Amino acid sequence: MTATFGDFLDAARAHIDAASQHRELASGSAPAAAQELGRVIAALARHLADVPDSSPGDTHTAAAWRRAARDARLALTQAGAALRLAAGTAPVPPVSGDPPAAQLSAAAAALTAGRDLLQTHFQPGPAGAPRPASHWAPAVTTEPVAVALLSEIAAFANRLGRWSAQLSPAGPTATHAFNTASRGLWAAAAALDHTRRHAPAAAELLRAIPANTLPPYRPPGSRQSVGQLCQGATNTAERLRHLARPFTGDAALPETMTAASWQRAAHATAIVGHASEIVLYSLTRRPRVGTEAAITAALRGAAAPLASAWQAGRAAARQWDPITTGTNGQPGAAAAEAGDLAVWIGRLAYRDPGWTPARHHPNAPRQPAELAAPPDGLRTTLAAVHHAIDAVTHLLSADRDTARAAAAEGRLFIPTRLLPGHYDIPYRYAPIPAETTDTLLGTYDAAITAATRAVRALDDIAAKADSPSAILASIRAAAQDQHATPRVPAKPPSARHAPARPPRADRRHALVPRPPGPVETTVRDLGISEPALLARAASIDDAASDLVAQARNRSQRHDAAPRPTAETNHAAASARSAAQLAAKDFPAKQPPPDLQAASTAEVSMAPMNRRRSTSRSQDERLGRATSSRRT
Amino acid sequence: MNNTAREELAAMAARLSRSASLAGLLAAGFDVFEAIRAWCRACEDSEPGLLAALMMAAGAAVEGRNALAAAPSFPPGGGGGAAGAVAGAPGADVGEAADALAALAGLLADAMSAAAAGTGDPADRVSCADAGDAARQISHLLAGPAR
Repeated sequence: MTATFGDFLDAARAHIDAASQHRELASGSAPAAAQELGRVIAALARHLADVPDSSPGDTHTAAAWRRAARDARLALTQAGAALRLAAGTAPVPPVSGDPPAAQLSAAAAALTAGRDLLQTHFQPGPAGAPRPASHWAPAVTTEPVAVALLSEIAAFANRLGRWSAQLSPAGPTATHAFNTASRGLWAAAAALDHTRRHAPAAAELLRAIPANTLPPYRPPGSRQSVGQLCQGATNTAERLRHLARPFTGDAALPETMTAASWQRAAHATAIVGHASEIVLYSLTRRPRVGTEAAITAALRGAAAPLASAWQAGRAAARQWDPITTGTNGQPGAAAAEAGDLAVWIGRLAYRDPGWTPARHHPNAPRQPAELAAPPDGLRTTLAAVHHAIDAVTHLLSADRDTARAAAAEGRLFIPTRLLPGHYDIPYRYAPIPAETTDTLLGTYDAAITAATRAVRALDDIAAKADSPSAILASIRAAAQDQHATPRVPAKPPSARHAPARPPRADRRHALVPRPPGPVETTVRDLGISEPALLARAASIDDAASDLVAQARNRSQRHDAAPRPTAETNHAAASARSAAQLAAKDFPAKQPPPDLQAASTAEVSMAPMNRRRSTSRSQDERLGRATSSRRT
Repeated sequence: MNNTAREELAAMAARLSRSASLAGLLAAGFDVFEAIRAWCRACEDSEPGLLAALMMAAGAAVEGRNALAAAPSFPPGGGGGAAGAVAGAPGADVGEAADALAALAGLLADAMSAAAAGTGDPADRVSCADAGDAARQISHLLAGPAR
């Protein structure tokens, strides 16, 4: 069971309530109580410090609560300063038999842990600014949830302020410190007072925020009850959402992202959707109870969006049929998890307890009474399907982004044996044509749209049925704006295709295709779209660019220092080595006259050699990558 | 299953057993995988109960085909060979055709295992082993219930 933010709020409240039972402090215990109350106040202030200051784009309401958070933080800071005077300079360990201090210490720990839990949903971005790290992150930062958090802090401040004012510590210094702290706490509570009019749904969402950790792996087992299957599917869906994180482009594309991995994920998506459709159909045939007729109608209404979703997922899988990344190996973690999810939902849909996609497993649907057994069968089953479709929607979105990145890096190929006969390419692979990339990404877009429609239909049913998965709709509503803006900048169709050139060394910039060089531009202007020719033209442009850069470097070196450095020696050696390596693959025939006429042999031969070397070494690289996985 | 499809499957099985060289066997295997893929795709909508099996078998065929294409001994180029090597219309009895393809995939798995054992090149061995695994998976996915 994953801890939620509400668990820590409850714990902090219970400890503060317990501390508040004590109106008097034992002799000598004031410093410890002051220290621990100061820690609670500091923890509250840190929560407030996470609220960004108001900015010019804020609405009137947003600006008001951001100002309130700032004012409350200042008041808490003053309260904390007063308590530090009473606590003294040296840390005072809470002593046994000193209940208020011990309870306050536990409350501070709970509040700090709660803040840490919220922080797990973010990670540092390139410029240090926090970046979402989970599907919950947009909900954490949304205005209603932030206001609900401020309301909780106001309640804590109010409770602690009242207690501090009523406390009778021994000695004038302590009395003054607790009284000052009390005024600061009340000032903070007053600043946040208007946040108490927050939406109850936002408070529920705040309390439900879980720690962003990967749940433990649970493989599908045979002979499990419907309840166990639902739990397993929900757990696996959560793992899948965790693993199918949006691709930001900051790091290199993982090597586990292969064509096989993408296709397996898309197939699993289709199977999950298909099995979910069967589950929903079975639920419509359950004995109707009172007001649940509306749920039955909604279940029927979700059938069409679900059918469209799994068919669109299958279409995405089919797009991978002619494509290879040249590496097979094990599928990525998300694809493997999606495969498990397909089995969990399949076993929920079909009567065979050991169901797998294999043909020899019977596909008789499960009895409706099993799926909707009272008291909670209907809600639990709905939640499992809801989580599953939500998770595969996240997966499709993540895979669309990684597929786009792979295309931009030139990692997608087609085996030349699949090309029509008039292609005469003496290699095993050719870059996939631009239109194939466009179709692939377009199919993913359609699949994401269809899956989103299906999951929204399930949002509606979950709300009607009061299913535990109804929280997903709240998260989605909070994240809606973020989903509307693609995480990786979308390109117009004409620019979607992979540049027909080798992957760049710095993959962080790979999402932005370089403009074609002069030779590639000329070839394109002549109406040539053959990938191999375009790759060759791009290689010539690259080689020319490298040559100019090298020459410029050498020229600057001549100006700056007469002696070559180790770095430039290495660069020159690398260039010679590359030329020698490339020359081994050079065809026996003479280079074309136009290249023979160039000023030096090195200049004329390098581009052609490099092109051949690139294709050949790519071939070899692909073979090595495949073999290295097994050896 | 119609006669044309039967004849094509028999011809593919014969081609696998006739291949004298590793390159020839890899090319034949590639074409068999591609034929299985095309057949599975064509049948996916024929029988709802077989949808998952056929989709997964098509995916396994793609993985097996691509594993062979990565083998160093795989003959480069040769466009057009695989595109035409698609089995004929499966006919009305999808179950019967699935049985036949499961059997063909079993033959393919055996051929790939033998090739993996017989080749000296480690990369070829890995490709053949991967392809053999994919073929076995297809056979498992498409084989009918035990009678």
